[in-house]
Amino acid sequence: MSLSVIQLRRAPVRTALLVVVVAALVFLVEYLATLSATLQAFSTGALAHLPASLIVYSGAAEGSLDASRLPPRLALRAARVRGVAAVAELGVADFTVAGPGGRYELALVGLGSGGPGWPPLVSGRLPGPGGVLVDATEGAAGLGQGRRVAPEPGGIVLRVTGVASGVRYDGLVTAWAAFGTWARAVRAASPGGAAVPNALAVRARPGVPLAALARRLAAALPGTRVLTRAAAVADVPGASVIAVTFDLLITVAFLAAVLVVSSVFLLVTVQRLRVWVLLRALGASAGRLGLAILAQAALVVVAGSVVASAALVLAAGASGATFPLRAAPGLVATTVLSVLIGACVSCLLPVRRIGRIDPAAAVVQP
Amino acid sequence: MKGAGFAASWPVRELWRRRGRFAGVTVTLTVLCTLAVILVSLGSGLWAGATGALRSSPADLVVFSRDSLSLFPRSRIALAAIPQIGRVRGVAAVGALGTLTTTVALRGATASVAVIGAIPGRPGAPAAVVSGRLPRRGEDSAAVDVALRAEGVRLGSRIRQAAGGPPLRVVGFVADQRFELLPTVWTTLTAWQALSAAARPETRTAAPAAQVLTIRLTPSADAATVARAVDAQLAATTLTRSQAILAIPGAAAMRSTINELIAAVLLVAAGVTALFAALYTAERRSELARLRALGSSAARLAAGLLAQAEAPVIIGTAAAYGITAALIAAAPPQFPVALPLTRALGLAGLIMAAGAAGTGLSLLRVLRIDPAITVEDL
Repeated sequence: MSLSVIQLRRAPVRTALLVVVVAALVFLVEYLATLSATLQAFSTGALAHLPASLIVYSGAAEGSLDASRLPPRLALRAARVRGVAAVAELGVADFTVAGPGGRYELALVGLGSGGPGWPPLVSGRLPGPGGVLVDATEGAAGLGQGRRVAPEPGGIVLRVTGVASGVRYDGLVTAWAAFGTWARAVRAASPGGAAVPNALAVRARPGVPLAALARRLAAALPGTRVLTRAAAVADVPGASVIAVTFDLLITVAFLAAVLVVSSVFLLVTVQRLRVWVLLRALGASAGRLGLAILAQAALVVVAGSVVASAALVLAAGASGATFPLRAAPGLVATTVLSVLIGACVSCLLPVRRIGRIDPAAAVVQP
Repeated sequence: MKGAGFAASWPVRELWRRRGRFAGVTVTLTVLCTLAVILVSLGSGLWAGATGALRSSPADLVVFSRDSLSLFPRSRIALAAIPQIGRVRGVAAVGALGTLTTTVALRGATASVAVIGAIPGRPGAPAAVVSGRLPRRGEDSAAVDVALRAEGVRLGSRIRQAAGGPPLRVVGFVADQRFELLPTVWTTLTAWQALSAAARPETRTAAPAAQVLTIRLTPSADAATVARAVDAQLAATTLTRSQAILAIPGAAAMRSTINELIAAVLLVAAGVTALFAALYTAERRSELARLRALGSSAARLAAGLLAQAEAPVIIGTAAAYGITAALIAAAPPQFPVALPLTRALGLAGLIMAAGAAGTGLSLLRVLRIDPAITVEDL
């Protein structure tokens, strides 16, 4: 270890530059991964946390809750299908809300009573008439428990009665209300329009195969498309494109980080070849020298990761109230560990170079 | 002449002699450049997909309802306001637009599209078509995005909204007019109202309405003055077209985030070049000093060093464009990526500049080599 530290300290500018470059790349990977995870959670959270087995959309909606509209009273027909334990109407509409940081867009989700149930509560109680349940991330947007919210247009006022976790929809600040409250808000916003449900949330009876129930529901409700909750989450428009795009960017940034460490240490190893030959001639084992290289790489990656993670925490702290980023410790740890492993593996090339050194060369060519 | 020949060939010989080492540097820079080029392609594609329809609109001002946060789907303005706004000083013509993201049935398949209704002959609709014509008043027809040709749509084809409403006969094709990342179907405002009522029953209104009004100004009119006058008359929010583009959900935030990421990648590229140049200079210091002592000018050696630093950058950039072009070609047509030549060249220039900036410190070290000291050391 002391050899590694001494060598890094002997070239402070180079070490600092390498740490900065690695920090920037690790920050890129961490930031992209955080952004991707947040976008995914905010886009699909509402469906992912709905305790339903199946979601029924209109056939024309192509799996989009926004685009789906179902005829009124379809829930009654769905409830009569064999294997269905409970059905609830599900509606979604966007409103404008004034918050402490200015006006923002609010997705109001309406959920019928007697259905599969509400997303698990973190605090407070489930909403009754005029009440809403909000996401735990929305306190900064003025939607803390007990606060009042006035969706515009329409002039109705709702009160936050409870908080749940991870229940955002479409990336927007989201409030969940009873279906009746939701329909009242929609009718108030557009007096000439009809407040019809977007979808149905269905809970299957225990032991009923979901595929078979989906087929029975589709047959009983012509013009609809029935998806399991997992399929509905995967079908959220844009979710898969976001995932693929971010995965590509994260992979390339990760590769760049690993390659930078590998290339630099390969060049440094070649540059110090005489030193390595001399150390080998003086009795240092190839394994020990190889470990010194790996330790240097690890030190650089750890130092860069500390800087990068601190920068991520700062960036998350500076993110907006309506789209709050969170530096998840698990994600940061996974990223740092991956880069560390990648860098150490890629440094096997310079280590191999040291392994091939013949100590006799020091005597032949002093 | 000999000196000039050496100056030109020395960096090339060095690159060749140490090709293994330069290959490692080149691969690293290629990956970094690929990241930058992918980000640029994504940024351009997302921007064009989100804003294309509005960017090519001939309207100077866009009028949103006040509580809409300047979002098309949330805005509603009664068409009865058109004559009133037409009388405002500085207004040359008033049109209206309505948008609807929906699914249409096409020859045995379905496609997600953005239907945009406009009043024929008024500001709002595209200024030009690539073939055919724009819909005329009273027709249930549409000019559609050229991307739908891949789905078998031709002039004369009929497209039907899966949720119902009147079928639209295709009378023309438009290009670069995407909205909400979807190909657009431009139709009349009347047809849009019927399609919206079928797909979004909650948006039905007693009086005919559009989502926004579009205004073309007289040549001498001041946009801000007209916007204030319109806002006062309608209790609305009037934006210039460029402001309306920036108000498209996520468009500005997406663009600035991607630009920040590109800037970060360029900084990293500069840092990596600096590292490699520093390592190279440190390794070759005595050789460079001997060359100075033997008569090579500092400028010539610096130029050689710059050439050796820029060669991997140039190769990396070219390879990155190749890789990205291949990825774009393999991506599905609806994937929002584009690589316009101007942005591609701009980024290439920035990458070169980052590479040159990274070499700066090492160049200074080369320029400071004193030949006299070198001779003493020999």
